[in-house]
Amino acid sequence: MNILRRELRASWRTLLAWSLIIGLMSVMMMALFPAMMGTTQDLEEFIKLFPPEMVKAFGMDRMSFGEPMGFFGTEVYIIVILTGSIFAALLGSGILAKEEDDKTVEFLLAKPVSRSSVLGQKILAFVLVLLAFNLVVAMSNFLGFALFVKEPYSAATLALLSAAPFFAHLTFASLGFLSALFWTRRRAAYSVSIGVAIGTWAIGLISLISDKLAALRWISPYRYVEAADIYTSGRLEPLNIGLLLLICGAALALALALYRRRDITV
Amino acid sequence: MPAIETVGLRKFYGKARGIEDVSLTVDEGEIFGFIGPNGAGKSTTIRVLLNLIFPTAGEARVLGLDPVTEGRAIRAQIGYLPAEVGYYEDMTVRSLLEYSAGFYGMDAAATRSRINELCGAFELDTKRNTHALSSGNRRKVGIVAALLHRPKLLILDEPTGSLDPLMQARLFEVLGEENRRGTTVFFSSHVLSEVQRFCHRVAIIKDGRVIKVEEVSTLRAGRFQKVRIALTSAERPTLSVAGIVHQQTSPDGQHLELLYNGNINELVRELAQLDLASLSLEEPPLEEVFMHYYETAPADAGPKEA
Repeated sequence: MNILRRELRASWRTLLAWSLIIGLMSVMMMALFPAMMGTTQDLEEFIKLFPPEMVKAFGMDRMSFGEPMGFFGTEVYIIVILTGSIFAALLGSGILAKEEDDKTVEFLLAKPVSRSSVLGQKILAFVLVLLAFNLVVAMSNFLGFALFVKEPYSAATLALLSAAPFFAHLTFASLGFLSALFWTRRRAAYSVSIGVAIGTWAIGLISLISDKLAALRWISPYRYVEAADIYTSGRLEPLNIGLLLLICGAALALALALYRRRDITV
Repeated sequence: MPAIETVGLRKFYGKARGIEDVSLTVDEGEIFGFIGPNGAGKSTTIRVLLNLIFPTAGEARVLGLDPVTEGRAIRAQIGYLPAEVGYYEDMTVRSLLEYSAGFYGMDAAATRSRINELCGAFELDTKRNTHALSSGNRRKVGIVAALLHRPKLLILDEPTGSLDPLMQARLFEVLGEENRRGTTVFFSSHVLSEVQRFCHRVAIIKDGRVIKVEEVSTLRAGRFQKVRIALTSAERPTLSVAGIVHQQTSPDGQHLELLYNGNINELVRELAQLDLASLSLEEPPLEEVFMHYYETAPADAGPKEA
């Protein structure tokens, strides 16, 4: 567990920065809610100006701005899930790519530890970091509601909306981890994994805007944890979460299988 | 049981050659030198032994174990210094060494005293950040990390690179001590003289093949010298002394360059007959020794005649 401890210590500061900044953003955005609520009518008029596809894409057909959970779902949730996914992509790819990039891999792999254990500990490290990140953000979400929302709201729905991004984050971290086997320079691995995190987001949007491209919907991990779905159903769809976990599992299993037979590249 | 044994070891990266045919045996308790010019395959061989890369063909045994299937058990008994050492940017020398020691299950008190002992010997400041170190100091950290857990076998890839002469001497002192305690030392180098001075045996690798394994006592009988002679006039002398491996005369006949591997007294006596403008002796680069000696001389002629 030497490597795990080392990785947690190394990620500590980044984790603190990302979780506090995103947590703070969640609280600050909720601070805007009371002002928004006063102008609900204008807002609804305003939204009508947009093409219906766009409204649908942002889930505004099923969630209302004028209601706290709807506001959270359309505004805050996007920020948390998207920025968190970028953080996760950086984390997952960097935790592996840095060893070859900094030429520390020869130091590490010359130690009496199996390659599976090296990867296992690194995976555990990024899972724990993402859990901590989402925990801090979840607490910030509740703090924002406690401070600025006077209306009744469902704490259970807020809890679900706070938990759901974790699964998307885990997916992007796992894909980033796998990508670091092919792009062993940190910068390249970052670009690829952030590209995946933002690219699939864009694909998800496009799939909603155009009916012809609706099938693309399933490529985007974000679609499996969409705020409007959770908001309307009041639950996380087990099949969706299962699929995301399956992608994670497949990516990590592939990374493990490849890494065990791999030549170091420095 | 030999400490290291390879038979026909081969590693290709696609079509690019790493090593072609490396067969050698390092006995337990030996100090074994592995010399060859840059790109000959020294690091590739070493990396196969540590299972950092996978061999294309051939066999390797380290401490009787197979690097591919029993790599972990091997690495538990090995201290390794990579040719190019990288460190984690947020670590001090001490925290890096403690991290390294942690993999071998050393207890905190033993780790601390061993770190102090070795860092004292190599004059390393343990509070420095590993990223701010000079290349010589980085190498020293790597050496200390390799020695820390008192391994049975030390594998050092170009350990003297970027060390000043004082530290090189210190290194070989420490390695000698470890060796007397029973540690086998296997190190690569491209400097013939250090290998000659400290090893029991050497393997010479060129273009991915081990071309010779020799007792150092044999090598020691002759010392290669690069002799540069400038004459006051264009004499074009013919030197008849034995041991001239290669001779080159400048077009003007005033400058001579010899690769000499014989009795230095005989050479000096011979040169005394000439009217010299200047004379210099230096250690030839290994490549040159190979080029003119190991390639042209029959394998068993060796440098014995000196």
